[in-house]
Amino acid sequence: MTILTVEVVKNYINGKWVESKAKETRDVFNPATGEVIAKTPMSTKEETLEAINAAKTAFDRWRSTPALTRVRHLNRIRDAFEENFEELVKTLTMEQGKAIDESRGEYRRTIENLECATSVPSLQMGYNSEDIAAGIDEMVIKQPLGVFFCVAPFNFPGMVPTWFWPFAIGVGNTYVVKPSEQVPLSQVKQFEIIHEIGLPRGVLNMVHGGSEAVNTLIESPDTVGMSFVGSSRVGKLLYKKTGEYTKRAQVQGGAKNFLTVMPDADLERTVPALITSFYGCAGQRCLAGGVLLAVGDIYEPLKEMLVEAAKKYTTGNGLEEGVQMGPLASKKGMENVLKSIQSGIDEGAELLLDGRGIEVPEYPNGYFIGPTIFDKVTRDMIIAKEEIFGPVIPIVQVKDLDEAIDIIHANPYGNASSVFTSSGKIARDYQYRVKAGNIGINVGVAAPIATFPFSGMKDSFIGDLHGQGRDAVEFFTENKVVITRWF
Amino acid sequence: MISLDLGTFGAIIKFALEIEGRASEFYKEVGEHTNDERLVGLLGDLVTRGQKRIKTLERIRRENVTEIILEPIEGLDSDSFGIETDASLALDDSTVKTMATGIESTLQRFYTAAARKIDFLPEAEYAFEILAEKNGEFIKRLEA
Repeated sequence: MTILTVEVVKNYINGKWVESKAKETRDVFNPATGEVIAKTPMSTKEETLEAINAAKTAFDRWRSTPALTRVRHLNRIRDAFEENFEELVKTLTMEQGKAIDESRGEYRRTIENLECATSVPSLQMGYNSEDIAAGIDEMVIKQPLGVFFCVAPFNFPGMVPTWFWPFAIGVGNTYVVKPSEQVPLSQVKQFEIIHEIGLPRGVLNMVHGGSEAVNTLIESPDTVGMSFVGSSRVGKLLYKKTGEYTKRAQVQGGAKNFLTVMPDADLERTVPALITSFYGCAGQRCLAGGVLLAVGDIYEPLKEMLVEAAKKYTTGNGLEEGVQMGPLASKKGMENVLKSIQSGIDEGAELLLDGRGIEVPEYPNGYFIGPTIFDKVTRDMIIAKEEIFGPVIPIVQVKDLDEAIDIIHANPYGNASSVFTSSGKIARDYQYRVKAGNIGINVGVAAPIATFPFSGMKDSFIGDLHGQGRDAVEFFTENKVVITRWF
Repeated sequence: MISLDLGTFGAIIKFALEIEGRASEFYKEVGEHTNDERLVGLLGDLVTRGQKRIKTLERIRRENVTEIILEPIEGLDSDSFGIETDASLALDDSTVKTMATGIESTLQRFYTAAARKIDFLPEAEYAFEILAEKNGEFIKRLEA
């Protein structure tokens, strides 16, 4: 594979690669080896303003480009991502750590976002009525607004920005991507490909950095809206700030997702789904299983099968085919998960499977934690309430569905929740009652595809409109009402 | 070939790419050393098929992995599907046909077994079933 040779990654502003003048940089690590593979510049306010200005300058011409022409660019980007698929995938695993099939899955979703955004010519249509009063007609036009930006997370460095920018520029806005400073290389790789496509200069820009760049994006009078994915703590602060600066905002925050297994669940099919949910991407996803609620009699057989399946789950360097779980994305992330595991032990949960200290031959410096399972977890323990963001399954035994839902609702998060059952009645009850944005019925990872909104409730989402699908078109446009009369 | 526990979709595809590559090389090599016109034609078809299959497998891998379904796979390992592809000795036409039939049978067995394991990806499962079917057609041609 081609190894990126730049040491300090560049910004992409106004159709050009620009070396940052920032004095401060942050190291980018390969989580499987612990080696530094690049550096992210902490771009300055001035550099960020250059990107905003480029996007602002490009707006008028871009918004007047016919919609079909705009989406043809998206089609070409989509085709180019397909052609460079394996290269993109390997870059992602190298900087983020996830298993290579998981990176392939992420890029399939990335491409699906581009494909969905090409529906914009239809999705952006308005509506009208004649003669709302005598001789007077009224219509709604969905208009783009200007410069939007996103603040992207470290766990899906390829996909998450495409929840937003394809729709944003598809409807006629211009855009600035601010990748996670921890994992900038996936976006750099994407922009290298996008640069060859020949989007008009300034339509899509990228600025690396940290809080200075983000604050500049929010404070600038020339930006109109923010999409954020990350922790709820930071998300709330940014949402408040965007309000003060009268920006639109959508904030996708943290999660603690409860997976409920009913006594009538098909365990042969349920257990593999649970394993993927809790351990997929080493537990570092906002849709990951967070707590396993074992209802009634299912508890013992479920626990036994789960431990057996988890023991077989292979951990290693994500670039190696056959490895099912890669390392945590950062040393800090690994240390946080280790603290969580210790808190479980300290609070009296029983450690059935201990993933700490796992040895991965040839990668002694990687940030590895193996599959971990706690039993006899109670609802008040930290591991039952707070997001762990690692490969840990806390099992809580409950007597019935009502108790399960009570525990779910006591939690401040509401991103996803799943039930495993053979009963349609229970499934309907669950989807009806549970206050979580993404509900899975016999599905461990309730991930909406690109044509649907990526939902979320309570502390997991702040705002009105979600990323992806029709929500995205609504977020990135304003409904302009026009009332006409001709004399 | 290193033994590989085929516990992920990607590992299955990687193994398929490797054995298809080895089979194609074998067919190309022996095809250059036989005088039987019919056999030359058949081996040529197998080489062409191999090239197409590699593209097909790469496309299957690219298009069918979604992060919503990446469940672990059990009960499939590469040791069960070893193929003999040593063309370094002078092989007569009869031996070539026997070896080629063995390769095709193993490929058919692999795609059939793998298809059952990846039933959570219906497109990929169907593609594997078709590949197995086509191996069967070539076995008939070799035995004719």
